[in-house]
Amino acid sequence: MLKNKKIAFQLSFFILTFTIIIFVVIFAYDYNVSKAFLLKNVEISAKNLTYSAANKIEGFLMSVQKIPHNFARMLENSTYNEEELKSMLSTLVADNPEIYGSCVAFEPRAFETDADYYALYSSKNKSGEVVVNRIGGSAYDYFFMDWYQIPQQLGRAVWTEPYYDTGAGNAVMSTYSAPFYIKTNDGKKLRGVVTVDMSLDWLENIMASIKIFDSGYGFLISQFGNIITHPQKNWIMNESIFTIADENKDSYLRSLGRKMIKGESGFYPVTNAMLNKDCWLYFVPLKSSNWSIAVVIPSDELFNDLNTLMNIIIAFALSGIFVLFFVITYISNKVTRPLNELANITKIVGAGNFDVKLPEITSRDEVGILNNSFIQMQKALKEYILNFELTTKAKEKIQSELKIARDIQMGIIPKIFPPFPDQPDIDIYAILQPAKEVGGDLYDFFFLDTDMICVAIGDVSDKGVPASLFMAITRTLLRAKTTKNMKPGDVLKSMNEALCQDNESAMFVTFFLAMLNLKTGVLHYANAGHNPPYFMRKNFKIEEFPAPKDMPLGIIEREYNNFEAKLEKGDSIFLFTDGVNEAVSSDGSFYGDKRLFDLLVKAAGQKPRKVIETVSQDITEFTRGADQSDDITITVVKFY
Amino acid sequence: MFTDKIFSFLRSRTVLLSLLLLLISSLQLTSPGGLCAQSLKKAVFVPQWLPQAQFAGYYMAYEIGIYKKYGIDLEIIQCQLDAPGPKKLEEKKVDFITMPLSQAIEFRGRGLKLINIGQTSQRSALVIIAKKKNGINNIKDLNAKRIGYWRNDPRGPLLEFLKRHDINMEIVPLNSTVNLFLLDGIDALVTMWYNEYYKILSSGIDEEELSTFLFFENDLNLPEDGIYCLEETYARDPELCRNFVKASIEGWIYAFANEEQAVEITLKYMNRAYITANKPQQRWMLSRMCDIISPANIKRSIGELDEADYLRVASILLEHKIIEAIPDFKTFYINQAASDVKK
Repeated sequence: MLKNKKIAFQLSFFILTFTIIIFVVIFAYDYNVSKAFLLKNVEISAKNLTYSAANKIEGFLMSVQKIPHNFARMLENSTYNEEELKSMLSTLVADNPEIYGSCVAFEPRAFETDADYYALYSSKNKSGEVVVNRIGGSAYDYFFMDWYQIPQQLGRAVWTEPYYDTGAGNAVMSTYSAPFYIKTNDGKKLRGVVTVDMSLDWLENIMASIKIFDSGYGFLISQFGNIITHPQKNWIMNESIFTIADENKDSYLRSLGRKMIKGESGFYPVTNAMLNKDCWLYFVPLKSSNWSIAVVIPSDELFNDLNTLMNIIIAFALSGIFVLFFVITYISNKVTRPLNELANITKIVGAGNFDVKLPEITSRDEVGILNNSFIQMQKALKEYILNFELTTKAKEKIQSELKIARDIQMGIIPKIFPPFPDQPDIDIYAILQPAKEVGGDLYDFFFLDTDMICVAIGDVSDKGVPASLFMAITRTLLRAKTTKNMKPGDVLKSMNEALCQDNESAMFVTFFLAMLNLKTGVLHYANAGHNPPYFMRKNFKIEEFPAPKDMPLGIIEREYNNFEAKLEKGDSIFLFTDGVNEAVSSDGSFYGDKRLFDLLVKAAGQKPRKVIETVSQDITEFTRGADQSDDITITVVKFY
Repeated sequence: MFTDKIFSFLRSRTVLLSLLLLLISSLQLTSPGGLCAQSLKKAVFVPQWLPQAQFAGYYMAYEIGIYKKYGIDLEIIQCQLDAPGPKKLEEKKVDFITMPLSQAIEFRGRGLKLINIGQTSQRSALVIIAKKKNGINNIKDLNAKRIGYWRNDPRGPLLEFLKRHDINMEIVPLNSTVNLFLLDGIDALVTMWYNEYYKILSSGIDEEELSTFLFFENDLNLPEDGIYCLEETYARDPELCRNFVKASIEGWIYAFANEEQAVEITLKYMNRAYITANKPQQRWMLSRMCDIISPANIKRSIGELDEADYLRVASILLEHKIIEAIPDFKTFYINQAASDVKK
């Protein structure tokens, strides 16, 4: 498809496509690497922030934990009466503003031998005074309260699960309970539990001080995942991280919650459950209470600067690509406009208008070079066509002259068959097919007197115009030199002498001359280097003329031998030039004497015209369209 | 897995429940519809525990005016743990209460003339939960372990479960939290499938980590919550009692068909009582209440007490000497409403 589009489009398409791909790859890489760097830094910040808050809380919780521990040790080591206990509890609450209340609770009959319940609880009343009350009874069976039962059952101090206390001013409270024991013979036995109640309001302040970006925050969960502090107040002590996960069908958040309550720390992405948008969570455990503190970092704000930067980069890139598009289009058009003009002009030149003016391009770039080449080509074409026209005219003239020459040549040999319709004892047929317009072969026949007919055939050593002229001379000489009562050898001698004189072109001609006495059938003949003809006897025997060949005419003056043979009525003689037996087929093989001989056997007894047509057809079949290499001349004379 | 089954089961029944609701509403057009025009009768109701979806049907009936439709000007008062329902009933401070069947039989056995006028629970929700990590994978593994139970709840079902499976366990009474269980202070907990089981899951323990033994799956289906009033209340105004039960059942059916609305209303009551409340837990509880009140495999009308169930529970109480004799079923259970619903 693109192949059919214009260069301007292809350039724009490919350059812009690859530019965009390169940009996207670089952008994506840069964005991810920057994001990873940012995340790493944020993780470190979050870690520092979280650990800082955790340390503050830990320090506070541990300082509070010491109070009941110390109290428990005192109760284990000494015996105190009720007043002393009340005094100690009052002092404890009065001296420690972070403590909301404190309790010492005894096992049944462990303090008063007749009381199942004995517990003292000190707290501040609304006016701020510390009051100590005795609690416990069937209405408040403290043995089954978590603050008592859990340390009792576990045998160790614990922070109770935070609880919402309406009595303490609607505050979230947690109680630290430490068991104390009495030594027995078997070891030790639980005597009671000392507790301190602490409002967790102060935790709110610490957690509220955690600010990350605009909407990031910190929160705290208990050892069972319950929300202790959170900016969304209605979650506190109502939701756990697991109910939030359940509400949001977020099993991943649940798995993070499990990590948190197991005391693990980590930095994880979470979906919108915690902040109505994607965020990151960093959490660390609070070892003293098994709680977990976490910070929530909103992803969009975390990557806000990066996203802004990336948006600016994208805007720049898009602008750049937009400008690039116009630049490419401009350059492409600048390059292709002269090309289009050249293409249009080439069409006109192709139509034969060589005088059309090519555009003027002054630049020396490829387009300028191409334009110059077109100008040179236009000039060369113009000259070539002019030369071509002249040459064609000259050639046409030569062709015309050659045609005339051919007509003249053909005019000097007998062409009317049968030549002697009044002579029933003789039938002659002959053909001459020049290889070129004019040829060097010749044949002739004429009566010397009423009984003697002279038959000749010759082949000039060359072809074309020189040969044809030599042939014309030879034929003229034949007619001029042949007289009655001369033997063929004498005629040849005479002709040879004439040809040898001033033969500067060193041409020669093979020649066979026969004289037949129609009364007697005696045939006198002489052969100047020509192919020996064949006798075609009436009994269908083919015989080669027996006499050896003499030298062709035109070489050197000499004598020519006369020979004699006898023709019976019905015999024929077959005269031919080497254009017959040396005819070349398309595969380069020669026609050959044997093929000719065999054909003549088949054609024996036929009339001369039929014989020649048979041979001529066979040669045509043999050469099968190959160019004729030599003149073909055949003459057949039949004696009746 | 189990949760999924329950939810799909619940969905399949929602359509049926809606149809039933339509049927009951149409009944109202013909019979007590005229009550609306009369002056409303005052009545006081207290559920057996703090507000939660265990009582969503009552809150729903109240909030959308079903009680008024039945001619009752109802007051729902909040349960006080130090003054339980039966005590208030005895003191005639309330007209209607809910409580577990075994506890009601126990009170009846002690001489409190209360009667069951509608048995909402058809299936026991009791379950024993234990952690697999403590080596408890089947019932026999519970032997010689420590099990927590709610000290204010009837002990009969747990004792029967242990007896039937020939298990000895140290029973640790608990007040109301699962914290001791979560901290491994006890190995197992016998509690309510619709309540504490979810509380444990929402404390970070996965279902796969728990072994659960539901009483009803272990041939110990002991129906629990029912609606009770004094015999004299019924004698004085049987129509009021019948209408209260019918309105309550209609409330339940409406709540099951409108789960989110029911959860929202329940949360409102919980917030008013300053108790921990969140949607997923109440949604879970309401779905389980549907399993309990309208189990697919029990064809009885909602609110009907099966005599066989009654005798099974009473026999267990007798067996464990919690009562001295089984109260007569016909004097214990008088429910006109259930038969109306059945029609």
